[in-house]
Amino acid sequence: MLKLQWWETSDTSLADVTCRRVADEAFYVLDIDDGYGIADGFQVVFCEVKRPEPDGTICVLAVLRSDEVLTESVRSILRARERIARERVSVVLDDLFGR
Amino acid sequence: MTDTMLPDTPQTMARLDSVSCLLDWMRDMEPALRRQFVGALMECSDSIQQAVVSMMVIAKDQQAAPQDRQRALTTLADALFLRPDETDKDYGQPLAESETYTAKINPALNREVRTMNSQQEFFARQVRAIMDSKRLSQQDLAVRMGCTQPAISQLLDRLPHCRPQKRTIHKLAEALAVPPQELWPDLETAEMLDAVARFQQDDYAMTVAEAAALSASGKSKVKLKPKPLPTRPRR
Repeated sequence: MLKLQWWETSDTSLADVTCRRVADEAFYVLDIDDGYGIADGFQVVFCEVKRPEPDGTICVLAVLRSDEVLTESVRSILRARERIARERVSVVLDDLFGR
Repeated sequence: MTDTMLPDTPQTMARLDSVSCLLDWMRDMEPALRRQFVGALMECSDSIQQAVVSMMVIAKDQQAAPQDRQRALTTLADALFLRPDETDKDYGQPLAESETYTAKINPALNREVRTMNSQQEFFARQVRAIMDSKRLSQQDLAVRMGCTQPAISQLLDRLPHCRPQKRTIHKLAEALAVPPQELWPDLETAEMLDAVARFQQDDYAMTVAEAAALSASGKSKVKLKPKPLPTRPRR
């Protein structure tokens, strides 16, 4: 997880860990498989709340087992959590670096 | 009146379903809890209220998987701050705190944290040193980076305590007219790792810079997927 600082929304990996955007959603899935120094077999669902440096914020919405399918119910729950997270973190600041 | 308040539309039906769901939900609550629940709900924005209702629908759905119903309830409680043990806590966990905890339980990560901290301190010192050596004011840097002087001031103040993103390092390097590695020596490694991971995408086309980086790193296992030649329409 230490490599999260390198992540950008256009990236498909957090250094050596695969990361993908969930189709039609604004959240991403980070697949934790072996060799990363933490328990494997999980997928971490997260979203990014865009804020200027140095306050870029990533919100972890859920940690699911790797074999769990993102059903419509799960997606609905994740969307709700995303809304809550965004609203709590969303102090909308000017984009200092024009991103 | 009915026409304006309750037009016969799918939206009206959806709203009535939501109200019905809400009333049904509150029916068995103790009066005090009901007041707390309604009060919390009314304080929420429209967006969160919609999220709450959608969670109620899942929580009440007998067809939904038990873990999903539990997740929906947890989310609902979180949205309405109905978990008194957590209402006074800040949301989320600062990166530094998270890293300190993780490093304690994993020596390998501890080494990486130390390396990153060292690079972070180096980065903060370098930016200031280069600004001094080139006699660049915050205003000068702001103009070069296309932002305001207060933004630069804020960035410099917090540099020793933050991890910049790659694009910020690149933008700062460009503004200071130095190679990015002069600000963050390990940047090449991070970029090479990112590039290697990107090659695994089926439709990824390698850039010249990435090809050079890969070649320099001695990685030979990368296979480039050939792109089909454009076809000419038959006459």
